[in-house]
Amino acid sequence: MTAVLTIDRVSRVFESGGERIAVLDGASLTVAAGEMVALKGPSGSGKSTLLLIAGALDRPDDGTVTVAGMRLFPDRHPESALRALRRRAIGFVFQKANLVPFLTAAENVELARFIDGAPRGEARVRARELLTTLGLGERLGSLPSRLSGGEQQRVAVARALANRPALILADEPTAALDGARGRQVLELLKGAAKTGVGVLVVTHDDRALDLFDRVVSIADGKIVRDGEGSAAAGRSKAVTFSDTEQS
Amino acid sequence: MNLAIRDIGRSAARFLLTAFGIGLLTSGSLVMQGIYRGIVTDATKLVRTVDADLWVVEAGTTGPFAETSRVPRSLADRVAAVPGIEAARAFALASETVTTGGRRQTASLLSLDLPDDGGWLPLQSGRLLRSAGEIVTDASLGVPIGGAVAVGGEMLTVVGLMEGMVEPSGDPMAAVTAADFRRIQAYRPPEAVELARAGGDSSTGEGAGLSAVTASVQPGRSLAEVLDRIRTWPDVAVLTRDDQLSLVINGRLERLRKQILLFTGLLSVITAAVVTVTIYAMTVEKQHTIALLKLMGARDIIVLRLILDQTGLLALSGIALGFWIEATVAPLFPRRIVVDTGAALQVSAIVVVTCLIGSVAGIWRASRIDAREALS
Repeated sequence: MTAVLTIDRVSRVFESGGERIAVLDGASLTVAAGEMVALKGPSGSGKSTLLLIAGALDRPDDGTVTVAGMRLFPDRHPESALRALRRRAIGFVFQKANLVPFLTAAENVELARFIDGAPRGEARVRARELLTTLGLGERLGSLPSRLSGGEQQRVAVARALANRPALILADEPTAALDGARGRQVLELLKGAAKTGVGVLVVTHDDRALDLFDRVVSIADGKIVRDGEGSAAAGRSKAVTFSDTEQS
Repeated sequence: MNLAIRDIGRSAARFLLTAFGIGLLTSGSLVMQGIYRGIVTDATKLVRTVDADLWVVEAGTTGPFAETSRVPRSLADRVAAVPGIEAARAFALASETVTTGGRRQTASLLSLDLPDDGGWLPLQSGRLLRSAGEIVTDASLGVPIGGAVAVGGEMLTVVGLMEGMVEPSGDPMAAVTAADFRRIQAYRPPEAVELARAGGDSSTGEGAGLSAVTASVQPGRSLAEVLDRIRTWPDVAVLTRDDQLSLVINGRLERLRKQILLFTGLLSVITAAVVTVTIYAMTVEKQHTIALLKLMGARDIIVLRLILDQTGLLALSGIALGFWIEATVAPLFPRRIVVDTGAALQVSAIVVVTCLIGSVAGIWRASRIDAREALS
């Protein structure tokens, strides 16, 4: 499988009050296309920093980072190139849905296509398709304030998928949801992975680990475990996206 | 997808209130500009209406619109005799107290030499003067045709009404025959005459001259040539039409213009402050959304447009409301308010530029927002 994310011996040090704190210390991680990987670890272990680096939002001090074929580090790219990478190759899902409050569910999904310069009509069709697939066909015109937490997170997943990214980075997407709804969201991400998207999910939630192909554990900035998840044995279920959606 | 409009839709009431505030400031600027242009229109109305090529005035003066100018009545004949002069007209203007229906007010009286003079008056209704004892007044004097006006011991009948013939001070103008004008100028109340006689002054006030002589140059003749010839006369000064207009606008109204300019500038500063605070607050409110847009890879132009579109809409709404407010309140003002295309464009441009300047703080704030804030 082609790697959509390669993080190789990455280090990141922050200075605080004259003290150097190594948040990442030679961490390595790979996510292949079509693979769903869980990144687990206690608070302060470096999960979020790793996610920022993978999302072209931070630069490490050492190591190599490649996302969707673009070597981000040690190479240097202008901010415009990093933004282009983010809008075309990376989908983000957050702990909270982070929807734009003044846009409807459909418009929030269209937004990703709009940012990428897609024509309005095409963006609208894509948003309708995705939201209908995710069971929100009746809520297209609803503002986020009118949606439940689970519905909002499904809209966020649809938005992350709108530009047919190579990689989805999800930061504790189930943290604000109850067990059933949290699992539903992970199943959506699993469905996306099955269409060829690489998915990296930072999670504390052990209840749905059966959905992941690999589970990577991080502690004190180091990867301490990188093992096969239950899903690799074919025990998971997922929402099925049509093959035409991921090109 | 226009994010600016969608965001405004969410807080339409606040947007409208801000736009209304800008509209009030815009209308203030428009009214001030309109008052100034109205005063300029009033001040130059007579010069433009008379439409003379030359104004021959008392030597050492700048003419009847700037200071007292006295020339003898015979000057009209002298000017008429200059080669190249098509016609010369006596011009006399004096400020008088008139009484209409028991109400006293000040008016500027013009002297007309019958039967030929007066065709240039902007008559709105009625007719021109035919004989002594008649008066043509500006409609703002408030006396209808057939009504009576008492001035300088004379009781005159209104036979015609003019439109827009007022002094920069707002006083209406009125035209009377040269004979009536002389009598009015010479009039002194009986008590004043008695007191003067008692004091040994036997003058009657007769002999009041003209303010100036206006002249038109024959078609095809050189204005400069005629001008140079009259300039050799030691007892008079001569001004062209443009000289006269320039004296009125740049001399008489200069301070007023500066005053209006400063006031408009002050309103612009207030507008800029209001827009700056509003756009900045709106940007801060959207901080998370802007961070999200950056995180999703939005180009700077999308974030910039979000702010500039809102600024532009605020400016346009403010301008539209400003014009509406101005059109609503302008008729309530006692003086002429002239908002021509020039004034409208000028004020609109000031508001747009002011709003753009006001948006700089918002743009600066947006540029400082880190995409990572969306994750917090």
